[in-house]
Amino acid sequence: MTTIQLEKSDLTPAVNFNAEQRLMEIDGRCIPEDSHAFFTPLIHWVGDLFENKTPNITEEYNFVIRCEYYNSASAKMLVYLFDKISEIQKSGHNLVVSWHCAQDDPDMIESINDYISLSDVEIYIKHD
Amino acid sequence: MDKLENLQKYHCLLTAQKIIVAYGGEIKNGVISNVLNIIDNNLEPETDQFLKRRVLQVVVECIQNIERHADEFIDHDNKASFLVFKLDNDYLVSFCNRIKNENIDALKEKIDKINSLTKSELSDLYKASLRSNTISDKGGAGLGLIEISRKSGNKINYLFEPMDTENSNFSLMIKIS
Repeated sequence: MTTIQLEKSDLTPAVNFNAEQRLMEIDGRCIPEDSHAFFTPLIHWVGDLFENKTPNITEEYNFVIRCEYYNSASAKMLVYLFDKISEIQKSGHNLVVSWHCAQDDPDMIESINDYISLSDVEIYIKHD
Repeated sequence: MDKLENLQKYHCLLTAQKIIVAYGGEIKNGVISNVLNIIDNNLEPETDQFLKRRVLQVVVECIQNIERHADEFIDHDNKASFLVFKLDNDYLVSFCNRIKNENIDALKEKIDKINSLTKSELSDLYKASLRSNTISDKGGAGLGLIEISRKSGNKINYLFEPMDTENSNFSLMIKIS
């Protein structure tokens, strides 16, 4: 299984998707000029891992997000990502999503709750 | 707004040295990251981190909106000017760029609608727009404007000034408090 590893840039977060480590991480601000082009391979990778590579259903996989902020086009792509994750969680896979933010960050907590309701996805809000 | 009044306001701001960043020219690759770095560095260190982030988010939406619409012009000209400054305890983001006259009515309608909503109605519209599939190929659907309004917490002020039979100047003034 291939990995996706992207360095952090001015406009995009660091990405570390690694099937062997059962880990998917997105870390940094996310304001790409073309959010569709940035997110599409990530969403496909996650779908492919759980739908085609059929990992052991009981093994825990972790999806970890640390994101200072993102642009509105990325906000829309995140809906598609969480739709995919929701499908995977509902199919019985143990895919745990943790979104890290400050305890007193009302904007981010509201955004995370928006995704939880929009995509019917389980996300743990972790305070650093 | 009266032009002389504008000029006086800019003069006061300049002398009070509260301009965070001023830019005029083409919006090309690299502008956004440079501008974000300048804002990051020039905001007073004691600025609330979440307020600071809202300023950055509004500026990102404005710049990327101009980038997305540049190809509407035959010459691909996407010159714009913008100013980020502090007035009392608020931050103001002011943008000016060219728009085709034929697009004015639709844009005006979107902004007026957003301005008419309460905070909770705006939040509902935001969620509906995130989920909507009627997004334009520009990535629009007005989501950027909705986000600007949510982050600002205030009404979006705007002005269209005709340049010629095809184009107008579009000015936005957003207060973030």
